Amino acid sequence: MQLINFNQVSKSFFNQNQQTKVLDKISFIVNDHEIVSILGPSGCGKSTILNLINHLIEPTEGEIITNCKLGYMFQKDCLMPWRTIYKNVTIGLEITKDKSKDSIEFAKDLMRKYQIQEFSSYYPNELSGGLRQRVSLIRTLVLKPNLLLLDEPFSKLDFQTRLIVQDDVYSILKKEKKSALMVTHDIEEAIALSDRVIILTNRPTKIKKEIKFDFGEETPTERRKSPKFSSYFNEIYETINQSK
Amino acid sequence: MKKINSISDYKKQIKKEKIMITISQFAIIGIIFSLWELLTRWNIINSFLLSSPSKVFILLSQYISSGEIFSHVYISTLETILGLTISLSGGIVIATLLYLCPIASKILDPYLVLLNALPKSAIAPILIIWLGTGLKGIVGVSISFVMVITIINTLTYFKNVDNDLIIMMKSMKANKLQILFKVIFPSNLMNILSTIKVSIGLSWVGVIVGEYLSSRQGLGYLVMYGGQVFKLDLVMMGIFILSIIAFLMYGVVVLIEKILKKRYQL
Repeated sequence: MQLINFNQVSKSFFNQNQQTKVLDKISFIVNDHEIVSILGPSGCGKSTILNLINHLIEPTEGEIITNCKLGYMFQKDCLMPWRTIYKNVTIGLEITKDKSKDSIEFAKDLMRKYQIQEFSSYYPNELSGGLRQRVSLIRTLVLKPNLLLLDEPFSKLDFQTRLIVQDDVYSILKKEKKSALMVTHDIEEAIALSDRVIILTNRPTKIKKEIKFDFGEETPTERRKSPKFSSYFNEIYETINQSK
Repeated sequence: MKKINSISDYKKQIKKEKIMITISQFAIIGIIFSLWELLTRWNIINSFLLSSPSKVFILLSQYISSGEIFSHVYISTLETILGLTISLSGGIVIATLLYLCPIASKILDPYLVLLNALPKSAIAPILIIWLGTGLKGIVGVSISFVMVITIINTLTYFKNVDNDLIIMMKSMKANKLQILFKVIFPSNLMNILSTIKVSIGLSWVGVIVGEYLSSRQGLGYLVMYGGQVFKLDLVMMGIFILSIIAFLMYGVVVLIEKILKKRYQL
């Protein structure tokens, strides 16, 4: 099943002096149970793609079909420091005014399953960066999305924490059978986590190439160790540095 | 300095520093007062123009034993707190409306800037004429000093809220009111407290200016009256009490701030 279908989408931003074309006829799809990465240099409009999917902005041309319930995970964990972990996790239920026992039990189950239960009454500033990122993912999962939009979710973490959190996020996504669309500028991150990568050009952004990865059930850390990892890395690296 | 080898050493060090700071703080005020007292006793400076701590103290004890001081303190503090409460709540409500309606905020922007730049004491006489010479007039002057800057500050704070938090809320389909009550207000609690800290001083300025213009009571009245009849003891006493009350009010806000910080581990 197709969750997202980007059909010849262009997006321009206007200011007094000029029109900036950010996206130029981009087409791609994201299927069920698939983790797809969008890889591109800074400022190429990766976040614009996410905002388009989220309907926070409208495309200038083309159409976007979204067939799913979205969840959003950010670069920053966006936890609210004045709320306890439990209150942060259940913010989605508060917004949707869902007070049903099932939903609350579901949230508590998730917290138990991913070992943040014991921090329920803590405040975010008492938790480590990695743990906060996990809380932020659980908060998104509480609303039962089937597609997660990940906006460079690891870029604020130090390298060692990043490796741990990547494994963490990957296993949670797979266990919960969620699809994800991740934007990143980190080649290794894209290979370690996704089933498929879409490589973008500089602005005005087009799709340069799509590469499907052939890994089994390997975790991100295991993938990093595999010989295929470096050959994919080279392939992507060369694609990016290719002259047009 | 001694080397720090253990937690108890560290705690001792911190404590030592704290004690040193507190002692120095009291020493400064002590030295100023004793110099002031001695210099006026030795007639090096004119005690008619500068009064002296002992004279102020004697006058203060007279005012306390007659009970007269309390009504002055009461009325001025009441005016200040009324002015502060009305301008803060009004200011925050207006800032919220402007935040929710950016177009209105853009339209009104030059007027806010103008009102803010205007020396408020210039409109105080008009306010006294409109609102009367009693409590209402003086509270009105106080509000004119605090309200505009509260609106401007609060609006700036609201606009500076982390945009990612708002996008996060929107992606969960939160409406404007939910964003307001669950993100904008709570994330600005500390900022609003620091606005209150600034406003306390301003509100006092408003009250004193109001009382200078027309009043029969209050600390501003005491200072004004003392000045007119060249009783500098009275002026100094007024200023002394004023600074103590303003300091206490400020202290209360700092205390609230500390409690909140501790609670949320900020």
